[in-house]
Amino acid sequence: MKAATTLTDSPVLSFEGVDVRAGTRLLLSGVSLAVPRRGLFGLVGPNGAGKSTLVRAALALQPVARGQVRVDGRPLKAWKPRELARVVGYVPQHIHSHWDLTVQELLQLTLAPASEQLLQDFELGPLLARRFNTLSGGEQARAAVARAMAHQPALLLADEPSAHLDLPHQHALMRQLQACAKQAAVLIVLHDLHLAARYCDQVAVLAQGQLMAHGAPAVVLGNETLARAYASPLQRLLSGGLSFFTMPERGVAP
Amino acid sequence: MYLETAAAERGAFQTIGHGHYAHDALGWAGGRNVFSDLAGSQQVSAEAIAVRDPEVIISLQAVPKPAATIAARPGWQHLRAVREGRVVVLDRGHKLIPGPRQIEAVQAYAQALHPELFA
Amino acid sequence: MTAMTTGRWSLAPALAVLLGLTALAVMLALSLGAAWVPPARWLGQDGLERDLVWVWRAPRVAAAFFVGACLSLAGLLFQGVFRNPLAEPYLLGSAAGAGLGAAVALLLPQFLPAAWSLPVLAFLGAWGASWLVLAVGRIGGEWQPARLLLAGVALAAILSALRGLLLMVLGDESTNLRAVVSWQLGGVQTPTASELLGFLPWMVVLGWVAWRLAPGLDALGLGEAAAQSLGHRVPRLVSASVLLAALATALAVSWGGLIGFVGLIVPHLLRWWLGPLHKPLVPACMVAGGLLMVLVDTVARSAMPPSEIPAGLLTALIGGPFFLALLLSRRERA
Repeated sequence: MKAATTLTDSPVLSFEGVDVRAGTRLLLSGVSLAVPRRGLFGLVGPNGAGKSTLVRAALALQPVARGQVRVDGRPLKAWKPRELARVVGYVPQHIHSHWDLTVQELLQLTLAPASEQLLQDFELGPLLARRFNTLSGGEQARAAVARAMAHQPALLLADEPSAHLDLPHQHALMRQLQACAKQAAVLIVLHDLHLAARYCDQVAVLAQGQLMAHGAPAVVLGNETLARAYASPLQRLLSGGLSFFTMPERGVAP
Repeated sequence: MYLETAAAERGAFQTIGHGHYAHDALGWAGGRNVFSDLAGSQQVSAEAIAVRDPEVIISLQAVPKPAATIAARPGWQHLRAVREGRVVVLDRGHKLIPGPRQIEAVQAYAQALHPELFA
Repeated sequence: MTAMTTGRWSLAPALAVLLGLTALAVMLALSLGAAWVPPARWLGQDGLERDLVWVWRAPRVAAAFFVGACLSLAGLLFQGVFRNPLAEPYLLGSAAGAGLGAAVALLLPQFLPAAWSLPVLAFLGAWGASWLVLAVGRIGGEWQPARLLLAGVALAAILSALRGLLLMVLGDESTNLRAVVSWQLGGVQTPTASELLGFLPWMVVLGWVAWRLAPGLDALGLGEAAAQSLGHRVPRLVSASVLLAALATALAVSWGGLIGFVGLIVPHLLRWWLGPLHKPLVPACMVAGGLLMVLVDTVARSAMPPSEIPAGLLTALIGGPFFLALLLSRRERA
């Protein structure tokens, strides 16, 4: 069943001047951004920038001290947990099942049964009888994303799903998410700037709880923005139309 | 007859068999212990008591409670002794201490077993 | 996708097997005891034999089934909430909490009417103990299994000791050491007729509520955030599950005393047989738990006539080694 969302140009997720606190510490400060209804939206930034906090706030897992989070135009507080769950899909950072589920059983933990199409798209057919915890990292990530997409949410939130994957699987996952982004909005937290530059339609750079910049990757992921965000002289290099990121050698001018 | 020396909530009952001084005391009082085949102090189950269906039940209690509490135990209402009202509760006192005061114990048992002789 | 390929059975055939085994176990239970009464003679001439089967054994077998069903359901729920297959009412101290509550009810009848004070206080004791362990065992948003179990063991020891102390201080001399110890060893108590009638409704209610909580417990296995993203209110889910588990524990303890390891073994074995999804596990655990307890009680009643072995001793003898084996196998995997 398709999630009931209005098919307008309004963003599916928006933050308006959002502050999130933990005690006296500000995890997010005055964050305002809008995630469009289609496309792959990357969230990058150094450790402790508040990326995971932002995702948790969007899931109503973190209370907002100031400002407003809106899903599909409605304030988050107005959504009942069940309603929100229909519209949002979530892939957590550490994909782990405490119980020894088979992939087929994992795919039962959804709001709608996994369709044949879904199984085909994610190539999960041969994996159904396997125990989830015995799969490789890449296969687990695929299954986890499939599980989150099973009920066709309008917004998929993924918190560093490629973190523990090897190179080929990172790219495979990003391509999979790109395919998902044709039918939904996909917000993904990334550490890898190259993946962000290559696959995302839009990127937001977060540092110390504040939004540094957001827009197209080519514009946003420039040396100055990165240097400000990471407090280090990061360098972007272009090769064959692709962006690569590194730090210059000490003592060598960038 | 069945001499109950202790009873715990969980349906575990303690009685005595041959070789125990209380068993001898019962014999002198004119009673026949249904558990005479056992030796010494033994734990028995409610079912074992039911199978042997004693005519008289004597319960030794430190703080004597009315005999009705024994009759109220689930299932015990079918025992012959309970149906015929021959359940006696005696003060434990010195009855479970081997010594010269066992004579008093014999007296007490005899009264419980043959009330008509003491009327 | 058939059961053959995953190796896991589906609920219907499994339940059929379990119920069949239960029927056999009940027949065995009714035949064995202080005297052997085969089924042919259950409705026979001998009044004593009929009494043995229907007056003495049948209610007790029903109670044993009920106690087993409650214990394994409580174990399943605790394991689901703590996300740890080593959680169960005995090890977590909830059973001891129920015992303390029951002791308070027994010894202070002047404050509360006796009729319902015992189960209510037993429930409060189980619930209080569960929450204490929950509070101690949680660090940084996740329950650490080692901490949980240590807290549970410590709490169980404290509560059992408190119960003994209470009995010795406030009880009269009839509630002596023997009574204290015998409760701690566990044993199925024969219910009265009115209590017997309550067993089935209780099992239906407990089972139904657990069935409703099952999808939430499944989702919890993926982490609290994932469960929340599936629309479950996690704090409410945890509260409800703990409450239900405490209730089941209190009921089991009221008729069975401290019986451990049933809540540990049954869900664990069934998870291996049926898979970890909670919906099929709820009815399967209740039936399998009842089956196990009927067998344990039968052995307790007939292994060493005319004495009775405390049921808790038997379950500890079987369950203890099982628990150790579990710990060892997990260490290898980790």
